[in-house]
Amino acid sequence: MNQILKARSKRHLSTTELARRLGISQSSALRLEQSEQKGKITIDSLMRVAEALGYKLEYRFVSTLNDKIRRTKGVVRKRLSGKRTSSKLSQSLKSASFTEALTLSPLERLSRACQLSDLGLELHNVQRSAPRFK
Amino acid sequence: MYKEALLVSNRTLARLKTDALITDYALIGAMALSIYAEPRATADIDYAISFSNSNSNEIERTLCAKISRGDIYDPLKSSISFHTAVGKANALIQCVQFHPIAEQIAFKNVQELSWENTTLRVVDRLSLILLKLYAGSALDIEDAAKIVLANPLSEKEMAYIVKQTNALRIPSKLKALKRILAI
Repeated sequence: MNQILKARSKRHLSTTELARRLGISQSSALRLEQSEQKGKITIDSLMRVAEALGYKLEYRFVSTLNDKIRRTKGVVRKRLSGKRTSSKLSQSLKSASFTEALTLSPLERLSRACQLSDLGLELHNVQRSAPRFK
Repeated sequence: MYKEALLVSNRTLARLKTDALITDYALIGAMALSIYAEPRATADIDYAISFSNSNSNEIERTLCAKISRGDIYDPLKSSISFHTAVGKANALIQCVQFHPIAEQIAFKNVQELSWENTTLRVVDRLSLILLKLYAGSALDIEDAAKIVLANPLSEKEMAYIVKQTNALRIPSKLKALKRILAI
């Protein structure tokens, strides 16, 4: 949220100037900013605003699950070597493993373990066949 | 590849059981872990097996592999490794024979799962936690923690884990697990 306001401020532009670039009234430009803050703006409007401000709109989903699992692994390893407080570790573990456990069935998880192992083996073979420089 | 290897190795061990060369077998290790918690990659497929010494030679002949015996300090009574060929690749299958107490735990409540027209025999959740603690490396304890967090232990289950870790003489591993879980 607040992306339009941030981008406009970076470009040192007023709402009047933004409105001019979009070919709309200043009050409409303000409404656009407010609707974006409320999360009620359309992608089409966002694209037009981004273009008017000299930006490109990037639209994508970012997985929170894998990030959490990766973080969890790091935290667990640190904890095992005695470098982290247990409460932080506990919280991190709970969120990641629970989410994973709830999203897949046991057999789906087993299939995923096989896929992950295949990838691991592939990576191992690639590393082994890569030329070594001295 | 690992999926096929898992199915082939499971069928191989099922045949050994039918032929009465082994008493029982069950999937353990990372593959079993994935059934109870978050999946992770592994380099091999691990099984717990139980067999009588009188069948050792026949098992070695059937699997074309040698049984390695552990000494009295080894947590494993014996182990046998063989490769399962899947296409051009080979998957390493590790079968371990535990000492009596751990063996009893491993086969106490084996789960049977139908997967791709095969019945997989897998150690149950509590046994896997105990076997992970028994294995005792940092990764194993991390795995045990993941199982508990995916499905927290009831008071009764925790009491069972405490009792069995004492029987296995690994209370320090349980302490490490509790430290991780902050309980």
